[in-house]
Amino acid sequence: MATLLSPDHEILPRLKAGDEGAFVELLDAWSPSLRRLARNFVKTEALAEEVVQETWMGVIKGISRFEGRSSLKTWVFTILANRARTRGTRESRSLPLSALGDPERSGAVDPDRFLANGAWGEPPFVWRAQSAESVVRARESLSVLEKALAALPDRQRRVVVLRDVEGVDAVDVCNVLEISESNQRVLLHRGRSKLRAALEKHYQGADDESERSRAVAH
Amino acid sequence: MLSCKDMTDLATEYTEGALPRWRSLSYRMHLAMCGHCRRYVAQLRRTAEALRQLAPHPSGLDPDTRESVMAAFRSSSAVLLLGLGVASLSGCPLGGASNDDDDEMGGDVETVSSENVGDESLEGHTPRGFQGQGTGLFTGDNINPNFPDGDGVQIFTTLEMPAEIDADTAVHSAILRLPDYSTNGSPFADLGDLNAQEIVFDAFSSALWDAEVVADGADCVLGSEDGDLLACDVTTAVRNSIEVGRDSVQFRIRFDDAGDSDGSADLLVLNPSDSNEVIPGLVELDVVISAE
Repeated sequence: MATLLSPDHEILPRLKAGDEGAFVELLDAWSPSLRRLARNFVKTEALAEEVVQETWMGVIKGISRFEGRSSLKTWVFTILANRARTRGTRESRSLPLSALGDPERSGAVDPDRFLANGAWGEPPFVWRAQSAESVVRARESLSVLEKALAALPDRQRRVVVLRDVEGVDAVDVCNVLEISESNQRVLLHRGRSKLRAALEKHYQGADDESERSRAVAH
Repeated sequence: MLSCKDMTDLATEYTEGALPRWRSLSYRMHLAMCGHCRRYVAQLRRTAEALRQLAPHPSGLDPDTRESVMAAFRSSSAVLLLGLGVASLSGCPLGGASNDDDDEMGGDVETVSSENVGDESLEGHTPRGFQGQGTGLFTGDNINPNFPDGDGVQIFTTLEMPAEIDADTAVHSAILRLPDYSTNGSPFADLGDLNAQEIVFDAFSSALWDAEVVADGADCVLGSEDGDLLACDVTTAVRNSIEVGRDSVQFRIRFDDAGDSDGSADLLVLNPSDSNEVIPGLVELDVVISAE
């Protein structure tokens, strides 16, 4: 979600000078994003909030030493990721072994939808719903997206949240999550592919339904 | 030649610009020829765009947590500017053992506040040469040539202890702030350190000029322009007052050197009123305590 905020070169000196207004601006603009990201590392909302609180404490403590080598946002997100990882690891010790596996499918699209030569057998459905009845549908499809996002494996979800929901650059995502660029791309691709599939299924179902209701009306 | 299946597998590498040039070219050629794959790539892009529309988490921080973060910021910013270590103020509750966690302020803390109230709580006088500009002024050099060495002015203020504080309250930090001062266009400089010293008095009188100090002068942070932070670390004074069971804490605020003899007027206005009337809220006290 885009947030309006003063650029780094304006807000950073104010922060370092102890300007409360600047800190409030940051706190209120980024806490929701941090909370969303934190939730991808820890199991409960309460823990996520604690992680966000710890992150801000870390920011307060470290701001005087922050030299601006990365953007302020990336720096804050990195603090969060580190705190959250510590928490997440601590929490996951009690997880059953089976929960640690990551049963990811490698293909972006169900392989059954391609012919033997790799050409489309069942091509992507047209997303008609985007134009018709768009207001209600958009809200519905966002909730479909939200659910599908929640269902992604953790590593994929973290990348997708940072890249697509928060709009963080690829390089910064790698730094925040401590992963390689190619790793980042693979995780992003798998995540996005699953979300696209969820939307496709949603639109297809919606279209089937409106076909049926039209048929009944005739 | 890339198959449609290859196209779906490589879609993100393509949109991220990570494909080698020749691969990217054949990707584009396939796209030009294949409507299904164009649709696929467009849908993938639309999915990413839709993700930007997701609502942020409804509650970033709940109000109590937010307040404790703000409290930590306030005390740490004052402390940082005072040149003290964060740990010395934001540490464990009084007398507590040191905490393993390196974020000592991570515990439950809250900020409680009070401000000067009533006519008797803030006293000062207008330095000679600045008549008509109100009371509660500090000055160094004086614009009145009869006082070439400057005319020191002190502020005496009484702040009630915030109601949340009792004898058992652990005080993490206490910051006295003067939020709305002005220099009336006469920037002050070279006046030595600004101190908020704890003294005890019943009513203002000129005898307070040399009153005995209870807690040693706590350094204050003084900005160079209007609106900069002006804050004093009065943690010791507040702890003292709690320890002896007082329900208020009183300060004498002054510069070490009244006159810097640099030939220009130095002025700090706390009360913009032209009379000697005291406006409540000119001095604030924020105390960070352990939450119940």
